[in-house]
Amino acid sequence: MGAIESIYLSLSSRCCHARSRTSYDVTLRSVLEKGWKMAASKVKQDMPPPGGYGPVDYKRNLPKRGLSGYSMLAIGVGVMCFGYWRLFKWNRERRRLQIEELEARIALLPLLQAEQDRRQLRMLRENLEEEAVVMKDVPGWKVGENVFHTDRWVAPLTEELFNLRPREELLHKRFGFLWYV
Amino acid sequence: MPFIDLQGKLGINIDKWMLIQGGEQPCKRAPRCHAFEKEWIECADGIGQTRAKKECKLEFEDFYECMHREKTHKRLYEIRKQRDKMVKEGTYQTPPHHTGAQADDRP
Repeated sequence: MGAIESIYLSLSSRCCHARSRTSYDVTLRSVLEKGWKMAASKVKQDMPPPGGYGPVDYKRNLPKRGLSGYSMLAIGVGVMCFGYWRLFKWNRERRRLQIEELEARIALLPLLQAEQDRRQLRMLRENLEEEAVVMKDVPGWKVGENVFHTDRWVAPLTEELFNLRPREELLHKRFGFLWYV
Repeated sequence: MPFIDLQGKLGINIDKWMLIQGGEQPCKRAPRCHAFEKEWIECADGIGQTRAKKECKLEFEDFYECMHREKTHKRLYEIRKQRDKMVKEGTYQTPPHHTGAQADDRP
């Protein structure tokens, strides 16, 4: 079959690119085979070995390996359960730590309240004195006049405390620390 | 419906919880004007609107002032305006604790 192969190759090499077999190629090949059959046996050709080729491994090879599905599911569920257990344990510990922090805050509350009270009273006193200085020429102004009709202590507003200070301090006091965003 | 306490008969509380500031609060925190509201309600309860408007005028004005602080803000504004006028004229120097120079404000 070497001659036919060489003719086929020469024919296909006339085209500029390698291409797969088309129907034209098949018909040309069968015509050439019938015409050249008589001269095939006398020519030295590349033939298969006597007795044929050995067995060719063509069957599908899909080996069973790894864990089964059930065991993989069991391992996944087991890892999740372990994770949950660890998480719950740590959350209980965090709750205990949080309670300790709250207890510390409760213990400090008198000090914090006293500090805040002193600060507020000092600022109100300063504001009162400045008001007396500033408004002494304004007719009909009562210094330190209570806007309420009652004698109860009313918690002062931030605006009252920071009235005569630069606006930046008021903004810092109001918006400097936010619990939420 | 008036005179028919439907919510009481059914034992439910659809909207009575939101009628006053001093209702039940989460974490038991008192509202800011709780005292004023309590005084006003105790004064005005059960005597009818016409009488309440006359007799509970002071409590109502205090409650209103606590909520809206109109008089407070007006007063503060007057003081600040006068202070700025005096600073512009040059008759008043802001004391150091009001200029923002002292960063340390500890009691």
